[in-house]
Amino acid sequence: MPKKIAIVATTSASGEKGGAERFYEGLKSSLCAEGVNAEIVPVIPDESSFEGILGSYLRFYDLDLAGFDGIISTKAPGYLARHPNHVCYLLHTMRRFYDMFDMEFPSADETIREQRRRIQEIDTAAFLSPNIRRIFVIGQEVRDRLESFNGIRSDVLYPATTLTGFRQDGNFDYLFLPGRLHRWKRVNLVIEAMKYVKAPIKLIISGTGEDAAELRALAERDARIKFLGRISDEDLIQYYANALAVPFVPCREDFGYVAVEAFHSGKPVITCRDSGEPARLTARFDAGLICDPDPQAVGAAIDALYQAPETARMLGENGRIHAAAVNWKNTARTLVAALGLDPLEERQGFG
Amino acid sequence: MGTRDDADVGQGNGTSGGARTELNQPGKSPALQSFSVDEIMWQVRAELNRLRRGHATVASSSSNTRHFDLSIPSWKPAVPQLVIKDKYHLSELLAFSDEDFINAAYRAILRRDPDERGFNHYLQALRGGGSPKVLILRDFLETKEGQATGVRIQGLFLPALLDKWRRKRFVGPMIAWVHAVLRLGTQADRQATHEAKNDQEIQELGRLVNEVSEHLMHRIITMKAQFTGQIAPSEFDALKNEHDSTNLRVARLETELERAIAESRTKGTPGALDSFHAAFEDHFRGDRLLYRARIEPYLDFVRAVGAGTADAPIVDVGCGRGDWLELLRDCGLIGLGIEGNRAFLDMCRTRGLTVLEGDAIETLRGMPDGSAGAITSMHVIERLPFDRAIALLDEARRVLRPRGLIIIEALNPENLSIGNHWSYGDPNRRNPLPPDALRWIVESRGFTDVRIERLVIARGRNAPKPISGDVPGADAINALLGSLSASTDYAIIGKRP
Repeated sequence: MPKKIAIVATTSASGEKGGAERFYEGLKSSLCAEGVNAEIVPVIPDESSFEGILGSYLRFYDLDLAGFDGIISTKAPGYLARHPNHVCYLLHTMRRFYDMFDMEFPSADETIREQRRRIQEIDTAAFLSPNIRRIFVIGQEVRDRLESFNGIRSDVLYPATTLTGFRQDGNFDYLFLPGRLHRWKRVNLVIEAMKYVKAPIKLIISGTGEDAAELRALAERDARIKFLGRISDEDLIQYYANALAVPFVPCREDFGYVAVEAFHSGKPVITCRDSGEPARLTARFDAGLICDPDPQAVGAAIDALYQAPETARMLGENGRIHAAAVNWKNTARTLVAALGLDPLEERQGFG
Repeated sequence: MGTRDDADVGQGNGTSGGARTELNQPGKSPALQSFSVDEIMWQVRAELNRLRRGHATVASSSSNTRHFDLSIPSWKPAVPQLVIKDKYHLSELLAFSDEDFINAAYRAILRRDPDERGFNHYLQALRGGGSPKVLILRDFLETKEGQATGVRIQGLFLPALLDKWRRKRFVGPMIAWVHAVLRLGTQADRQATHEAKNDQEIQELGRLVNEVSEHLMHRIITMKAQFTGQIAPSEFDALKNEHDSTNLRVARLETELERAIAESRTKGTPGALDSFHAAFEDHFRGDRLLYRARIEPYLDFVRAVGAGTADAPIVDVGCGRGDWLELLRDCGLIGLGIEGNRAFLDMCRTRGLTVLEGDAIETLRGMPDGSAGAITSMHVIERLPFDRAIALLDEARRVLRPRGLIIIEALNPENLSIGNHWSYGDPNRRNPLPPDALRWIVESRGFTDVRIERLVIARGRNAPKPISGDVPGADAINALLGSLSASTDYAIIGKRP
């Protein structure tokens, strides 16, 4: 009998597919490839009010997972789930009560501060639960946050992308920026940067999101900027393949599949110092340009790559080589081993 | 994958005491985490219940979900929680008893919590034995409210019909007689009453246990709250400051201690230059991820001979900072390193790798015949005097099992810039060994199937591109350029016969 593993997931009522959904699918299939029976257990959290948030915490806490041999929790508040064999593979906690607090509540009153204190208190207590065998996080950014806000140590375990078939044979024609159109992704920074770009280069933006209308309005007078809305995976790979560079400048991003997909497509990434994990990976791989989070600086980086396509190619190639070393297989193996469900475990008696 | 980036770790950890608290929210510190998650969630549930009390009813407060979040023992009925669905089998609902049964009937059929009057009415009927469970379910289904929800219960029709008719004046006795044959008459009625009584008792005992548990939980939480409140914030700050300064002192002492140890090592001890060599190699060997990509092709070779199991591990002679061992471990293969350099040993051990400390050849001598599945050695052989190199090969052949694999990687002097320039970079290196020469040496020490692998994966070669063939002298120039773009490393791969 293969061991049963539950992936405790949160899902949105709208069914919108983002990085997290891809992550769940990749995690599930890679775990299954390791010979366990992994199942996604989705719960729709209610974040409309603080009472709703507490209710969601309670719902995860009450989740009946007795039929599983082990569980992997991923996103807030999934780690509240109770199971004697629990490994946390944290995507992120509720960021609005953590690093995004000041951005989301610029004039926070005592009530909201108290809410933040309580969420952090529950999270910390949950992470300290003796049932959680190990805590992995998807990147250094999340690890640092967990350590500074909750005093919890964790290990970085990179996820991979589930998209396949990336191509490197395309032209280097335009700037491509896919992803959710949300203020935390700072697409506006790239749009504003175009004002300073002297090169005759287009900016193609794909994806949907709550801030789409504002961004379209912001780009209205610049004919070089084009919005595609939602596109298929095939188109996505195609757009990556022909791009000159991918200007991805989010705010303290947890992981950033966009950057990883750009690496796989052999495209240099333009990112900002405060962009979190993408900036860290871009620097480590030497796979792009890292600038200040300022339209003029981003614009200068775009111009620089336009004028030096060979450099762009080389940076892209650096990213491609490094990204190739990250795959789901090792991630899944590490998780299965941490849950003590590794069929190879008995072999570790050597030395 | 899965490894910490040590360079970044350094930033976060070196000053963990001070930097961490600065970033922290006021009043928030893991040290103050006095409540367990179960205690906090108990409070959350209580709070949410208070908030929702407006539409709460009798039953929900005594519902069987309460036992769930007590970290102290509590009673829990053996019956699983009720699942809300459109169709039940009779046995699913009959499994509940006493109060739980009434609650379950309301939730399953009427889709709501019981009102106080109805609840008491049906409970009395059930406990008195006057109205068995099937008839109560039947009643529920027949109400307007029950019909509106459209819930169906499989297997209810016949028993309910029998029970109903049994209670009718004329048909009743006959049915009852037939029924009695099957259920041993009035004895069955008495039995039913008895069971209902038993159920009631169990429920009440359970509830009592839970009340005691709740009471205890409440006491624990109040006491903890009082306790926490007793430390005034100023006192706490003072304590924290003291703690921070103690941390700082400890950190300073640690640094001093490390320095003292390092100094004592440099004073003529054999490991004197260990950290220097380690740092030197670490700098020139390059980024770990890139280096991992370079050595990945070896995985297939060792897998092909079935090496990397507990009885045939892969022994890496001179394992350095342990990149190869780590790759093996990540791929589920068992590896064992041999390393004489203390600084490297420390690196390997922090990464959790199994490494034996000592001289390469001496350590191999200590290993039994035929005990390794593969022996690898990267950039080691060029550092050994010739007789030691031969001794290494001989020991390796002895330690390998038959058909075991040897992989020896070295810088490739076929590449001009390696031969003329880079191979002189490391003060420990003697002279580069041409691939054909090393292959001959390995073969002559009794290995078979010896071949040369020239490695190009993930090695940036900055050689100029060949010039076009129609330029005069292109052949000669391109031949020269070719020797600049030859692979930078090669490996000799052989097998023990």
